[in-house]
Amino acid sequence: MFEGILGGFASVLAPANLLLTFLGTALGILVGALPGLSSPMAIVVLIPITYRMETLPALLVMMGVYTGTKLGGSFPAILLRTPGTPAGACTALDGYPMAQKGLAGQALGYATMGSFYGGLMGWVLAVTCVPALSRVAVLSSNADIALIGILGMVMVSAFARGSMLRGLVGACLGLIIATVGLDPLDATPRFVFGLYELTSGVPFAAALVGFFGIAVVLSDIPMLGTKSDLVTSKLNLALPRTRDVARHWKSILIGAFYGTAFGAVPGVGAEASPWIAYATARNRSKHPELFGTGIPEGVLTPEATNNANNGGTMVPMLTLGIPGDGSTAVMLGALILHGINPGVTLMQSDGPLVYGLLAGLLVSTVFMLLIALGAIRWFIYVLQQDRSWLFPFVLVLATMGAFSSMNSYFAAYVAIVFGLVGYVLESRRFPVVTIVLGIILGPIIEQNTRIALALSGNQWSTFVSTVPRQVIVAVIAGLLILEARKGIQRMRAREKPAEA
Amino acid sequence: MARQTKQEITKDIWVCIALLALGALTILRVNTGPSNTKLALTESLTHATLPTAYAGILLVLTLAILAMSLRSLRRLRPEDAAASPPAPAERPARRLRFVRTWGTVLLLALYVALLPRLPFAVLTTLYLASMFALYGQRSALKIGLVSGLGGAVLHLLFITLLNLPL
Repeated sequence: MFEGILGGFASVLAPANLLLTFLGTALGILVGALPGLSSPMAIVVLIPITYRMETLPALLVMMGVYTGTKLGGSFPAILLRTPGTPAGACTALDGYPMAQKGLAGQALGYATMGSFYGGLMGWVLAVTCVPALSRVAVLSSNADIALIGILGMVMVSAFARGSMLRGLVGACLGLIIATVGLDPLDATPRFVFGLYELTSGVPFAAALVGFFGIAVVLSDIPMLGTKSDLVTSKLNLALPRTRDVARHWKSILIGAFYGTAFGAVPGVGAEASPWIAYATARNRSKHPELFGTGIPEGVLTPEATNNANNGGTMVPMLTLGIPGDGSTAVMLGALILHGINPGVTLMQSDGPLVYGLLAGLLVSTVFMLLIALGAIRWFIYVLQQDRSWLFPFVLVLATMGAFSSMNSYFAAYVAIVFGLVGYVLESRRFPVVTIVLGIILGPIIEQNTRIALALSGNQWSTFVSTVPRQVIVAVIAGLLILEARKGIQRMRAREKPAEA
Repeated sequence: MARQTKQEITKDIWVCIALLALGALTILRVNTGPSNTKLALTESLTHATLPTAYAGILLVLTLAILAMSLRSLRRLRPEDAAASPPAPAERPARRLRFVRTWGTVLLLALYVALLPRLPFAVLTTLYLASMFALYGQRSALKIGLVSGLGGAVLHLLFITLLNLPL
């Protein structure tokens, strides 16, 4: 393992890779600082630019963006009470009151330090778990892989924003989209409608840029023309002293624990964990009544959670091929576009790449700190800018991303269609991340299910023939039952006041 | 969770109807189309099994959402159920949002349609300028500068550096 990690660092510390990681992290902070732009969207627009690069450098830029957006999202949360990313929303609870007290620079400093320490702890978990889990995962048979795919989809649907029902509808849509093209076993054309371009399936990059690029721009059109005049004074990062940060070590530890643990569960991602960590830190605090009034613990905890989450999400992504959130879904998509097959065999087939990505996670966390120290004022400047100058460029880059995936205008049209579909579904609270997950996992589930059945002589009992499979099936069933029960309870609770 | 208005629930119902139609068409299409299964291994799952299963689950789940939406519609309070027109102050903002949303889609489709016919730099400059105008920018000088510069930089990136066959 240590040799692998050292090899990973050797690759990442090559000057060109280091520069790309740095640029990605800076871009990530910039994107995170702009409410309305998201990490998946930024990674999507990078697809055409990184498409011709080697896989590791391309993914390092994306890793930098992924890390940077988490910190960048806290800037508008602290200064404007408008989080740049959903994960940054919790930081506003104490960050904004601190800014109102005239401690904006300190709040930004605590956010930076919290993000850095959280990121470090998340990285330790990732680097410990990924190689160990990969060794177990590689022993999986076709039936195991199919079940893990289904489990990942159910988990993401259960924990994604909104109801599980809508999450599962999205997953089914994604699975149906994934069946377009020639059947993987007998080459029967499915939903091809005589179009040659569809024989190899729906262009994956087009689906990605449609759902995470065009749809997001369409959803954010109401934000056009809004800009804040609040951030006018010159702001500097006031880095807290080490002993001030050390005094709040419990808050950082709670944040890092929740961030890594929730990140490692596919679907929970970064949105829910800061709130739970914040609530825990408040409950365990000697002065819970001060939370929400602008105290450092209220900034350190959610920020440590956000960046620790990155390490957590790497675990299912690199060991099972299951994305933990939208950004890792797009990163998995980028891996597929680069001809890499993500899944349980990734460590075996592309070990150096996995270790390179893990090393890249640490390097981008360090860059995040350095960039924030040196140039935070410039990132805050972008908060004053109007998005109407930016969105047209995002649309051009998204279109080029779709085009470059198969050098065909057809893919660009497909992206527009998926953009519209994603916009409509998001506006009706269907999480599009589950659609993308369905598209990613669909072929894996189908191929492995059919091979498992063929190998077992069409015995469906093969899916419960070992203890791990029984456990996975039980977890799937348990999650479905639990979420169905919660859904019914929520519905009854909603109806009660109406009856009263 | 905030109470839904009649308009919101109606939109949910329309999306459900679209999803039901998609599910039904999926089942119909995959089970009536050509098949090579006989040429392949004898197996219990054919090319149609999983798409049919996915579409079947989609139908069941969508029906559940539809049933809940209809139930919410029936239980709406009179003040929520009354189809109140938007306040006069809201109307221009709504109209503007509608124009910008559909304008974005149409201009993007037009941009893609014209890509094989016009030089990339020229078309991208024109597209960016029209998008800036659509999104409310009024300074012709700023629009001209940013779109011209943007078109040139994107040309450099995609045509000169990445050599995309546009």
